[in-house]
Amino acid sequence: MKSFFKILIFSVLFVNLTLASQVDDLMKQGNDAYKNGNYRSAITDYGKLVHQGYEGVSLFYNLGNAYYKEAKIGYAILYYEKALKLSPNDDDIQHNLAIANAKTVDKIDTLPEFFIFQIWESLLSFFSVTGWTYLTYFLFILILVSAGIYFFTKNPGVQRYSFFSGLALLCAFILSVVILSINVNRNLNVKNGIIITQAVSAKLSPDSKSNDAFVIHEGLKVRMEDKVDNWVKIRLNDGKIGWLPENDIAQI
Amino acid sequence: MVSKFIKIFLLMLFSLSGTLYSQTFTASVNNTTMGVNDQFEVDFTFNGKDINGIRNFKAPGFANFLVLSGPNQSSSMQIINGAVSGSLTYSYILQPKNTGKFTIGVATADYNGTTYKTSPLNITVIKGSVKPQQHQNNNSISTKEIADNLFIRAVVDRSKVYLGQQVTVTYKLYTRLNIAAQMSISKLPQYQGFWSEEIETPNNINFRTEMYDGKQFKVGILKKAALFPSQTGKLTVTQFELNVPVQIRKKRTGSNFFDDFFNDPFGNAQVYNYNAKSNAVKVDVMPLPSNNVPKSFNGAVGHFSLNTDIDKRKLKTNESLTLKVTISGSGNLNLVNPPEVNFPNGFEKYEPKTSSKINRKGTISGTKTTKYLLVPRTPGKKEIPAIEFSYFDPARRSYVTLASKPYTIDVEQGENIAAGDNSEYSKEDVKLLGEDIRYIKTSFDDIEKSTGLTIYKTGFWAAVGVPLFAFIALIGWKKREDKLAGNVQLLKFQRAEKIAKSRLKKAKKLMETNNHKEFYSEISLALFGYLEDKLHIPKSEFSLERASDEIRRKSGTEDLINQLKNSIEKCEYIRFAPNADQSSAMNEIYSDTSKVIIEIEKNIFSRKIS
Repeated sequence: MKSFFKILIFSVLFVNLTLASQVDDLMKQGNDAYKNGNYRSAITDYGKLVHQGYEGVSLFYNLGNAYYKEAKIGYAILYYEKALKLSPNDDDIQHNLAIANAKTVDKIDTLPEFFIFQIWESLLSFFSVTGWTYLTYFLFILILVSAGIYFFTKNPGVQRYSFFSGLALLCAFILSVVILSINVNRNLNVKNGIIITQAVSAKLSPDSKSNDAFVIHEGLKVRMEDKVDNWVKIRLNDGKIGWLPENDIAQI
Repeated sequence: MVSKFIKIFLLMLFSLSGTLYSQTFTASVNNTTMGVNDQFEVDFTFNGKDINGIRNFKAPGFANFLVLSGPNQSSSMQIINGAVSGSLTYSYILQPKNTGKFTIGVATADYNGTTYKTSPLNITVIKGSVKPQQHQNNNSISTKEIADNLFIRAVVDRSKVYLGQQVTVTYKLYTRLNIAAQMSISKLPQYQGFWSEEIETPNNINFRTEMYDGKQFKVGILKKAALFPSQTGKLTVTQFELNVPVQIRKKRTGSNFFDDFFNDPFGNAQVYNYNAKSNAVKVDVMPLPSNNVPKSFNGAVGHFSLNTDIDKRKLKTNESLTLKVTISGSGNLNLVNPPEVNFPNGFEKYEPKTSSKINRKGTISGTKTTKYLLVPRTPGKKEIPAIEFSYFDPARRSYVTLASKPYTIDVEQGENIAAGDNSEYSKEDVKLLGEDIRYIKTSFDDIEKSTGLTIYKTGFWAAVGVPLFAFIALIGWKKREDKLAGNVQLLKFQRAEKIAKSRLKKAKKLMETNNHKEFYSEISLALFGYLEDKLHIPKSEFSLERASDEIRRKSGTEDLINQLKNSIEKCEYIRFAPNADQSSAMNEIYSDTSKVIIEIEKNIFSRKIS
């Protein structure tokens, strides 16, 4: 019995180690290829990791860079957006995404938002979903600790401090929970996609014989609202709605 | 001619009086009574020694007259008997506007610092024309007489037309009189409610003979216009007025040879300015039928054909393509708008250029060509749908729709990727376009299998739940503790057994090491402490009797009390009798005390505690 467990633990460790070394190898390979200007093979290397289900800011960011260098603006923006989702405040990603967006054809005006909403939105995306989760958890533990101090201390001064800090922490915790739940909800329900083919006509209905609604170009970020067979219903920032073949769009 | 004669006559008359060397300034008119249709001459004559000294001639206002000519200046100089005299005449030819009595006002002129004035003239204007006795056949041709022999006819080719259908109006001059000089247009017709197009006519009027109303006329075409009604209903083209100087042959009367001689020494005709007016033209415009109007109908009326042409069928993105749409035929071509073309998406279209060639001879016809410049921006097979053009054919009284063939265009991907118009880029974009992306991240320890959101993991909820439950348990324990701390009696009661046990344990240890004193004090402490705590008796009031009473009250048996008393007494006794067999006594005391505590616990408190 003991030996069986030993083998199990060993094999798990071994698999983990081999997997880790494979990630390292592919990333190194990809980074070297990128360094040497061989962007196509860099895309292949990074792409292998993505296909195996790996994710990470550096992986997505580097893949986005490689696609950008290969002039595939749609994919570049797609992976920058994916990286940004994991790390919303990364300066490098924001910079490169802005450059890639400048290269896109469609300039769809978004209505300027009221500044309070802007502040709210930037607060929502201050951390990734995981980041907000950890923050919420951290606040939760702090509340428990301060409550513990409150209940166990005999010193009335300390008790008062812990009471008010606990109250402040509770407010922060509630806000954090609200933001986290909004973010989780968006993560589940709001699906954004990037157009990856150079130009595509959005149809009025999910049917290739339907009339064209509008033409959009590579790199445009659109909201994916529905799916019928192989057609995706999209909504542009200016409110226009159309249907695209599935292959022309990739979800962030 | 007559006036000239009068002038000379007057001049001679004045020049005779001029010998007086005085300066005179007179106004004269050839006739003070005249008809509305008569022309007359007013002269303002200055006689004096030096006519060059006249300055600032001011004529009176001729408000009630039409000035046909003037001021005409004429001067003469004469030397009679060495004396120089001259006359200067300003003459006007006038025509009255209305009948009635009028006054021609005062004319002024400066001569050598003196202002000379004429005297006003009274004129009576009567209806018709006055034939002065001495000029019987002179200006005597009645306008009716001329109108019978010279007139303008406006002729339309059709008087009932559809909206937008061409009407040709022709202005013909009919004359049996000789036209003396160049005719001049005094009023052009107004084509209100029409869009007009002048039809070319030869610059010189070619006259030919034509019978009209039983008489032979010379007929010339003055003007021709194509009119396209732009509104329905009865429309009128206003009159065309032409000033025709006509030469009028006069009847010889013989009685006035002298007159004739002076008037026209080399012929016997005079020129008369006749204002010829055409008739006003009325056109009845019908609206276009309202049923079966094609969708593509855009107001074209006539007869047309449609032609389309495309220069390329296969090209690359961002190359240009020209689609030419030609509409040719007769009708209101200038009003025809190029047909609408629904270009497929992915084409950038520029403002179409339209050129037209119009033939203005007879019916207006020609071609109108519209060129659409297209630049495909996206690759693929694109279809330009059939272009439709509709017009109304007045001859058939129905709408006709023409359609071109649809074009399929094969657009291949050009080299330029995502090239848009640079003007689309904002300033910030342009700045960004110049920049390069930042380098890749070289550390990659953040890569892991994607596992979904943390909140879906059981580990996370365990990490939330465990501290929470631990905390709750801790608080619960603390609460209990506090409750106990707040009730010392209860605490003591609950702890009594424990303390007794621990004291007995200690006593056992002391027994093993033969420490008598300590052993006994520990045993008695265990027993007394236990009883104090259990029976809620304060230490100061504690006595064996009190304890016995309490136990009795708590329904302890007499046997138990005796046992207790026994063991306490034994304990006291042995404690203060050091000579006894130590080890056996200690053992006995220990077992007794334990037994008593257990008995008490069993009999009195077991029900309460549980």
